Amino acid sequence: MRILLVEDDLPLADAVASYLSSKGFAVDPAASLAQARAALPMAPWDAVLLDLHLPDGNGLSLIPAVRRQSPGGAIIILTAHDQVSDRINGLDAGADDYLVKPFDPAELMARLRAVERRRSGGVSSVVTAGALMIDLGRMRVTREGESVVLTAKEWSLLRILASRLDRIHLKESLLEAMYGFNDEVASNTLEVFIHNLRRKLGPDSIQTVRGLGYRLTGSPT
Amino acid sequence: MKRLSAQSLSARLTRSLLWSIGGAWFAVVAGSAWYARTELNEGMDSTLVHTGHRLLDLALHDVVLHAASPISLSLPLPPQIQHGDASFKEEDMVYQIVDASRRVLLRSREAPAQPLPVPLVNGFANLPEWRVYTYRHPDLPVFIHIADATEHRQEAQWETTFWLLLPMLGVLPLLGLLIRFITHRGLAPVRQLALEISQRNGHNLSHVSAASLPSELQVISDSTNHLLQHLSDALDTERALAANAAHELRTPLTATQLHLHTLLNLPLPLPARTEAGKALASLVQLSRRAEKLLQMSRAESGATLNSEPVNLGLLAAAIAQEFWTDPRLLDKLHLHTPPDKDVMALGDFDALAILLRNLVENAVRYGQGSDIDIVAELPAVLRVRDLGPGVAPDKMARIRQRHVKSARDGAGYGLGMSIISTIVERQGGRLTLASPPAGHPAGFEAVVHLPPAALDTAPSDTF
Repeated sequence: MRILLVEDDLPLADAVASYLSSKGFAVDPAASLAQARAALPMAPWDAVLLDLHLPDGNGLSLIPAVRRQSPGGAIIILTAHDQVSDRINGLDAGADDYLVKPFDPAELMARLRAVERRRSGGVSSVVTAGALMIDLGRMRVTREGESVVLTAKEWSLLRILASRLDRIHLKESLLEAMYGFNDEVASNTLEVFIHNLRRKLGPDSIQTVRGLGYRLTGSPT
Repeated sequence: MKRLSAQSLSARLTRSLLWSIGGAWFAVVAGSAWYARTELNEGMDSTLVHTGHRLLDLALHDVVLHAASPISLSLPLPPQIQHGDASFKEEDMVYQIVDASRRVLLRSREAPAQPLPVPLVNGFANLPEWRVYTYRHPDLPVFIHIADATEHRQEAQWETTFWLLLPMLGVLPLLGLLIRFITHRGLAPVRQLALEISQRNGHNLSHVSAASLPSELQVISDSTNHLLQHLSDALDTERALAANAAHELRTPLTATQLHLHTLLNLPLPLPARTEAGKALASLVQLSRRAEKLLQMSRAESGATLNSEPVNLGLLAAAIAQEFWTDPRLLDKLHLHTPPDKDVMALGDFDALAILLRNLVENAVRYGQGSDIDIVAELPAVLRVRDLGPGVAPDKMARIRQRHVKSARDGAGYGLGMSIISTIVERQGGRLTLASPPAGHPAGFEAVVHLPPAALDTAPSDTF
C-alpha cells in the first residue's frame, strides 16, 4: 500500500516514514503543498497523510487535488490542531479521518488497515453492530441470527452505515453515495429508506442525530 | 467591606462645601456682630450724653424750685428719647444729680439712693451693672450721673447677633440639600463611567464609551481604554503562546513516540526492549499531561472564550465520534439527543468540547467498562453518566480540587475535574455531581447546566 506523507517537520516525517515502513507500507514524503501536488500524479496513492500547517498554505487545500488524482485514496489528517471545530472543518473539507498529534501509532495503523481492507474489497470483512452481523463481502445481513432480505438501495445505504460504525453519516454524503449526480432524488428519499431499514433491522438499529445524520447502532430494541 | 465604608464623592463634596460656606458665613456674621456692637455702644453713649445735658438743665430748675434738699423725683425722659428708640425703656436709664460733696440732690425712681461710685469728672465710667456718663454743669458745682444698664446693652447686642445668625442657621440645611442635589446631578457622568468600567471583565474587554463624558472624565476613560487594550493584547499573546506551545510540543512528542514504536518493532535484546517500553510509557504519560496543561491554560484564558449559540446535540455528537474510534466504546458509549429540537446554549464551542471530552474521559476511566451515556437535553444541559463503581461520598467534596487523583493507577491526572470546573464557571454554567446517579444503583453522573441561547437565535453553523 502506497502512502503519500505531507509533513513539513522533517524529524516527524522521518519518524512516521520509519514506523510505517517497518509495518510494511511504502511511504513517500512531501514537505510542502507544492511538493505534494507534484507527487500526486506520479502514483495511485492508497492514502494521503496530511499535515494542515504547511509552509506554503493550509493542507486542506490539497484535498480536491487528491480526490481528482486518486479518487479511491483515503485522506487522513495528522495535525496539532486539537480543537473540535478544527476536526469538524477537516472532515467537512472531505478528509476521511483526523488524528491529533501526539497520536497513538496503533490508532494510525488501525485507520490504515481499514483503508487496506476497503481497498482489497473487504471480502472477509464482517461487521457486528449490536444484534446485526453484516457481511460486507457477501452482501448478507442477519439480525439475531435470522437472515434479513434487503433491496439493492437498502443494501447500499446499510453498507455505507456499516463501513464506519464510529461515524455519524451526513445525509448529504449518504445520498451522494446512493445516487449518481444525475439522478433525481426526492427530498424524503433518504428518510423512506431509513424507515424501511429500521422496519427490517429493528426500530433502534439506526440512530438519528438531529442536524447531522444517521449512525448504525444495531440495537434491536 | 471596603466598599461599604467608602464615602461617596457627592457626600464628601457636600460636606466640604457646606463647611466652607458655613464657616465663611459665620465669620461674616461674627464681624457684623462686632461692628453692630460697636455702633450700638456708640449710639447709646451718644444718647446718654444728650439726655444728660438736657436733664441737668431741667433738674437744676426743679432743685431751685424745691429748695436744695435731697429729694427723689421722677422726671420723664425727653419725648424724643422715649420715642426715638423703641429699645430704650424708661427704667433702663437712670440718673443722679449730685453736688461736689457727692450729696444726691435729685435722682430718678430706679436710681440707687447712694451716689454712683464714679469719679466726678466729665466722661464715661463702667460699673458692673451700669454704664455711667458724668457731666458737670458749666456754671454750678453740680454733676449729673446718667447711666443705662449693662444688662440692657448686652441684651441688645445678643439680639442683634441672634438676628444675624438666625438666617444662617435656617438656610444652611437647605443649602446642604441644594448642594447635595447639584453634586449628585453633576456626578452622573462619573457614575456612568463607573458602571461602564464595572461591566468589563475577562469576557468583555471592549473600550468604554467616552462620547458623552466631560473632558475631565475623558482622561480617565482614555487611560482605561489604553489599559484594556494592553490587557486584551496580553491575553491574545497568551492564547497564541498556548496554541504555539501546543504545536511545538505535539510534533516532537509524536515523532519520539513513533521512533520508540519503531524501535520496539526491531529484534531487541530483552533489557533494551524493557527500557524502550518504559521510555514509551513515560512519553505517553508526558503527552497526556502536556495535553491537560494546555487544556487548563486554554480554559483559564477566559478572555478567549466566545459566548455564541452552540448546538449541544452536535457538540455531543462530535465528542461521541471521537470516542467511538475506540472499538471498545462503539457499543458502550451511547449518545442521546432530542429527535425534534435543537439544544442551544450560549458558550464557546471548543471550550465546551474540552469540557465534555474530559467528562467522557473520566467516565471511560472510572466507569470500568460500564455503559456510558452522553446526553444533550433541554433547556441547555449536558449530562455524562457511567454505571461503574462511582465515587465514595468522602471523595465527592474533594473531587473538584486540582491535582486530586481519584484512582491509584496513575491515570487520574487530577487536572480533568479542575478543567471542567473552570470551563463551567467561565461559561456561566453550573456543575452538579451525583454518585450514584438518580435511579441507578451505582455509577457517577456529571450534569452541566449552561445558559440557554434564545430560541430565535440562529443555530451554530459549525456543521
